[in-house]
Amino acid sequence: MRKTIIAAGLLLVAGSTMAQAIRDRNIVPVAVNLNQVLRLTLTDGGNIEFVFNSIDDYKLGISADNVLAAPADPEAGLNSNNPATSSPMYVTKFSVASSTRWKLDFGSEQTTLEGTDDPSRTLALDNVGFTLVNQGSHDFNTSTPGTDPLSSPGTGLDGAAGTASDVCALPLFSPGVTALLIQDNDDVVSANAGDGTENSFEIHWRVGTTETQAGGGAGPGYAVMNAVSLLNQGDILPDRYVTNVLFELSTDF
Amino acid sequence: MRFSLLLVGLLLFIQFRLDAQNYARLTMIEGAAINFNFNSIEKMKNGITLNDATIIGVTVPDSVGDPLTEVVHWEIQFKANNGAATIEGESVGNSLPLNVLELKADDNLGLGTGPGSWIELDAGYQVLLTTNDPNNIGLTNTGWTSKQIGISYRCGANAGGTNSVFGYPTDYYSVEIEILFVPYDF
Repeated sequence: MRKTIIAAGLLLVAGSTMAQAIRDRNIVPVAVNLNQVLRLTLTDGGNIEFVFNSIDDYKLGISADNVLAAPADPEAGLNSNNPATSSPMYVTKFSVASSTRWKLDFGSEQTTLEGTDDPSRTLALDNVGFTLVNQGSHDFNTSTPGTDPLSSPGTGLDGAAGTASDVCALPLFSPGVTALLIQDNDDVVSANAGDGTENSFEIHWRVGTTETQAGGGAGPGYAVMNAVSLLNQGDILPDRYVTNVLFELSTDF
Repeated sequence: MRFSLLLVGLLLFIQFRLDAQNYARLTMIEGAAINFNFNSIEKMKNGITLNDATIIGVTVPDSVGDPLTEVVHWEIQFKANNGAATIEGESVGNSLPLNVLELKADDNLGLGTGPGSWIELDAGYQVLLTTNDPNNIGLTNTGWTSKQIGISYRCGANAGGTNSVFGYPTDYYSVEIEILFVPYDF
């Protein structure tokens, strides 16, 4: 009788064990393939031409902005006095679409602007100046660590809109050395990754305005513009002086 | 002696009932492997959503009305498999946080209506779908051909937020997700 009861107890225990809830599971492998997207688009102003055909042009320079910095050449006067100034003809618009943090180098392909009719004629690069204006929704710092220029739409290289220290001379293209235009080192992991709406910019060009930012250095570490107007640089022979400005977009990690 | 035999027989009967009818099974019908291919800024920005990419059939005992074995309350749980804390890339050092992936379960066939909500992938179990949700019904007397769960996936859907894949290095990232069917409260 005792054995019977023990056996019955064991059966009951076994039965109870088997009666526990049974689970089942499946495994789903999930893969995420991140392809690099990196695209620079010039939307306007891919060919900038400055035509000097008056004494005012030679004295005051021609610019996309009315005036940002007081000219260094005392004879030059404010370029806002030049009717050729403040024209959208001298603005280059571009945008960047990138899936990762990116940086942009830019600069002249040649060490000087060369004459088209006579290549031996040259014009110094620092006669060409520019400001960079952020028109997108991202904020940036540029090649100067610790600062936060281009911090919001409409602001320039020094963090404010349209001020003297925005103006820089066109550099020679030498990636990673002096030609770094935009970088973002101070934000979250995604940093400046985004589409063309978020990364939208304008370059405002000028020639011969002698804006040398007497009160401070150039925004991203570039040289300042030539302090002497085209009129006072000696005999610059008439010609069509040209250079290509190269842009190089690359990942930054 | 007769009483003993009767007792043993009765217990065997109970055991066979419990043993034979107590099981639950998930059957992978489609979507056994999921791939997200990010090849445009638009996808990076808005993420990729794969609706009902995985269909899983549910089989539980034919035990309607049996208070011992009827599966009425149940839930689907999920987590990153093998204790993965990140989504590892093939290049050493590259990884994505688990929460760039989100899952949602809903009725694909025979379970009634009512979609679940998006839940971020985590290293620990989370409930993806449960009968405690009034939008979902219980399972009784069912087989995988008539009762099916649809699982949707999305990746990088919150641009600029914690779910975004913006800014992560190009790579092939992978993780296994464990889908667990849990009947409870018999």
